[in-house]
Amino acid sequence: MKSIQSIRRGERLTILILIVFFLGMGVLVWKVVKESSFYMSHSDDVTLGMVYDRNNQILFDPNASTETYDENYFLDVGNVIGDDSGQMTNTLVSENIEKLQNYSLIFGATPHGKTAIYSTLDHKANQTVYNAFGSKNGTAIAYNYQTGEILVCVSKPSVNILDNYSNISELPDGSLICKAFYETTPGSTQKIATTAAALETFGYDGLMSKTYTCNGIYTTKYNQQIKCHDLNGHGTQNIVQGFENSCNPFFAQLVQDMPLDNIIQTYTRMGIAVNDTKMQKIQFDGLSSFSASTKLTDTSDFDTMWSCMGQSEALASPLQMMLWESAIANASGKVTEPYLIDHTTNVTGSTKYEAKTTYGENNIFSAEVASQIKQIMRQNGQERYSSIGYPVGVKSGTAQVQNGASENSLLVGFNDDPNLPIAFCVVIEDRVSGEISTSDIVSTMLNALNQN
Amino acid sequence: MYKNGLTYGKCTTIVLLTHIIMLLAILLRGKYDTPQDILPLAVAVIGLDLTYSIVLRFLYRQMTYTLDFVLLLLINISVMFQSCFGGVGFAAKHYVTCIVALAVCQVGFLLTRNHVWIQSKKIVLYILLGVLILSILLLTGSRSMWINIGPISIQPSEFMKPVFVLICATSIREQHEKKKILFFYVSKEMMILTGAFIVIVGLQWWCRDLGSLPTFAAAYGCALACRLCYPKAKFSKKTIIGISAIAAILVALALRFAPGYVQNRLSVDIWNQMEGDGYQQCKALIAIAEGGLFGKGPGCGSLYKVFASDTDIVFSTICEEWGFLVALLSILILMAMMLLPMINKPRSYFHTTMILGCVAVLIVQMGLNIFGSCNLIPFTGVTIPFISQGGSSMITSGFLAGMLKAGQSPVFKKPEPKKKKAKARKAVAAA
Amino acid sequence: MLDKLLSSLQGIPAYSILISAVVVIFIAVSVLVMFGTARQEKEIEQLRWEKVSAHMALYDTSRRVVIPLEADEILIGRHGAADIRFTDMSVSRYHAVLYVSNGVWSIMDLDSKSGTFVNGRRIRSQVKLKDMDEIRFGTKSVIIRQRRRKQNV
Repeated sequence: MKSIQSIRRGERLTILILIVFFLGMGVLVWKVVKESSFYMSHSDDVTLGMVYDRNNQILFDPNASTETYDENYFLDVGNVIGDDSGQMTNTLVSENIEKLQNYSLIFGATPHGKTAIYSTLDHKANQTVYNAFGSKNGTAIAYNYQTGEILVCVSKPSVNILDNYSNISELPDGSLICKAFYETTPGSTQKIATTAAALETFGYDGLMSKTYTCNGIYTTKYNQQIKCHDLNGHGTQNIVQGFENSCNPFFAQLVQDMPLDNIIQTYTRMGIAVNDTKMQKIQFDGLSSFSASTKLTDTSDFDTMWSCMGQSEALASPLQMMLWESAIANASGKVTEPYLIDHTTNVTGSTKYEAKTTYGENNIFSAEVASQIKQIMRQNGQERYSSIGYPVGVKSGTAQVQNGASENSLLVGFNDDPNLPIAFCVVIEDRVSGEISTSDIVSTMLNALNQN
Repeated sequence: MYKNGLTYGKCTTIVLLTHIIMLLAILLRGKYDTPQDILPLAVAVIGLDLTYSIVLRFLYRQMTYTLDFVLLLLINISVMFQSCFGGVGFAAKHYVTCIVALAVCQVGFLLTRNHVWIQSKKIVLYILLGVLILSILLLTGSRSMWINIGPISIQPSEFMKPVFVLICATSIREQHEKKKILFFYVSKEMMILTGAFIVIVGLQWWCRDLGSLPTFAAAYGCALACRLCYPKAKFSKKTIIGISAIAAILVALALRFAPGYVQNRLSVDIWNQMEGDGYQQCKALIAIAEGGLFGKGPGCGSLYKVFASDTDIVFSTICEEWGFLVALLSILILMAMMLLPMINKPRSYFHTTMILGCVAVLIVQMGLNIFGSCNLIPFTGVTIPFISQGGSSMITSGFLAGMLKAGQSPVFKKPEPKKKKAKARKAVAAA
Repeated sequence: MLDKLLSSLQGIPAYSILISAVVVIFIAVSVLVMFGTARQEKEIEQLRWEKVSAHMALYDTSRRVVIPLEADEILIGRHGAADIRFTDMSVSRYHAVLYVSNGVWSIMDLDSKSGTFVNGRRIRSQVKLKDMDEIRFGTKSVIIRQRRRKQNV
């Protein structure tokens, strides 16, 4: 039956209204399906699952107590894995609480579900590294530069979540954050970035042929003095020697010879926010980390020179320093993106999410430059750091913090061995000579990782 | 054999079976002390099923009965929903209003099935609207929508809805009574309608009851669309753009100069104000998530403790106890009720526009309630027809359902001038 | 005993899902049954409408087609919005309206330019129509007549 036109018009409008409402219901269903886990995170009904390490050791247990666990069992991962108390943010548990819920829209809240996060961390190695710090504070982070799995992440002082924050007022500063994700002064490790800029500016042969003389103190053209840590001077050096000696006058003169734009270009590609440009934070698995920043104004200026040598305005997170090493170690110029969650399971225990190895979209420098820096760093490792006992390529750094009141010791680098492809960054705070060194910790860490 | 010659065995059986299955679900999953607690509910629901089927069979003279069965299905489901909030019991008050709604549905049907008759009474409708507006102005407390008579509170603005829908409905004859004012051909009736709408908007603004404003706006918008598009056949682009521009400007102005509490409500970030303005919505959303697709079980929820859990956020309460699927399906029943007139099409332009108005009012109410409580749109305190508790809204919804039914079983008799009153009396007597 | 039965039932895995699913299926089925019944009603309603409209239809003599009358108010004109549309230029855009009441059709002219004629007489007000009446809109003429009679012939 063909209905009368004037009636059909009314019907069409009616059906239009019904369709709009129906679409609205569709949006509602979509919203509920998508956001139900988020709503559940505000509910009292839901229980949380466990976090495991790569060897199925428990890293987080919502029902943990001193009766079921060793007193210091969680100490090394306290501020990395965290807990659900809400006292800490930017920890694995606090940022992924929705993934940990024993909940699915179909089954509702399931008290004894099998939801879990399987982390890439190696708890045993992590504990070993944590203990290796002894009485010193600092941070150590290491990851597999081929796959991106973060294997070790230690930040000391840490917090023992089994204490339930009963002593929160007595906790030392920095206990509740993982320092690997926050800014620190990079010190001479910044010279890697400066070397990369020099390689891109002059080319390998051009740079190799350049020599500068160090008399202990270099006076800039604005009549400012750049002191070397060896006031006797290093004499005339090329880049390899200057890098090994970490010679400040050498790099000051190198920076002076480079156009400012070239340095800014290389730094920007490496993810360093130069001169108040907006910094791209490093994001992975819900966590967010400072990347790096600096200020460069004039290559003949004292502050710019020091910024290129990791002092003055230069800041970087240990995570970022470690990531740069992956681009060098792989000799690809591409950063291997890090991840801390290997896979997650849902209430029924089936795998819901699986991490994949990904690389940064853009080269931070060309593959050629990467392999040239690798060579320089390897030589440095061979000649000065054979005590580590692995074929490492490294750059050390000593960062003056608190206006020179204390010095942090840094060591960044990579193990050039396809069977143990580890990139690392170790920071020991307020180190004085004679105490445990960064290379000792790296050695301990590589040994621990090699065993597993 | 019903009056139209069909047997409704299948319908009766499936309605009864669905209710029995739901009662069984309450028995098997519900929260109660002893199984006897379910008995009053079971007796009431099955009793209403059987009684209404008998009433339909012997007392109602109409051409279509499907809508009555859908209504019965929905109303008893609603009784079961309301009875189970926070523990199985029996919502006697809701049950009574449901029966009243069924009766009012029949009244609405009888009053509107003959469009020639109701059109001849349009002046009465205007008077009725005027009386309702005056009653709001004079009888309600200062700036509220409620009249309190002892234990009963009535919301007259609810009753304005079906009256307004009837005023909006039009026939072809009315549309051709036009006069030229300046450059436009305008019908006198259209002017009165617009006047009535402006008065209602003003009243709602004054009463600070902006929740039901969109309902009237929708009904008026549909009436306007019908009238505007009629002489042009196709939606003239200029007209549509012009009207939408004016509407957009009006809405923007309204939002700009809205009272502070309205603007606050429009910009609530509920998760940051979980203990404040966003409390109800947060609880509602959490409840939907907690229920999951299949619910916690009748009476096992916790949302009933939240204010307005049986009216404004009733959808979430149902979601929590019965599951998202059942809640969606109960909305589907409501939509099915509105789709029925689209299957069995009305035969007159008046009924078409009337059904359009009813659907607009019902859908907008549902939309405001459900999407509001789920934070898709600002939260307003309106009810879901038939599912929320509330006497005034139940009666109004019943009347609107009766109007939907009238479109399907119309009567085409022109009342003879002398017998007019007798016929009207007869119609009321049949109810 | 009932309590025991219930508690033993609750041990069944996915017990609550099962019950909810049954409820969901029943509600869905009842909605479908309603739609099915509505379609049956539609047929009955069609039969009744034919009774109400006295089986009348318009018969376009020049084109030799039957135009069914499916509503109780039918607008006739040249405009695209008209329910029955005659493209003849003598027909006004909105020419006339047909009504049915108590099984009797009547026609009203809408101030058309060329006028509406029933059996050759120009109409001024609403005029009742009988079977086989000739209606002329301008120069376009149609006949209203009973369908059944046509079948009998």
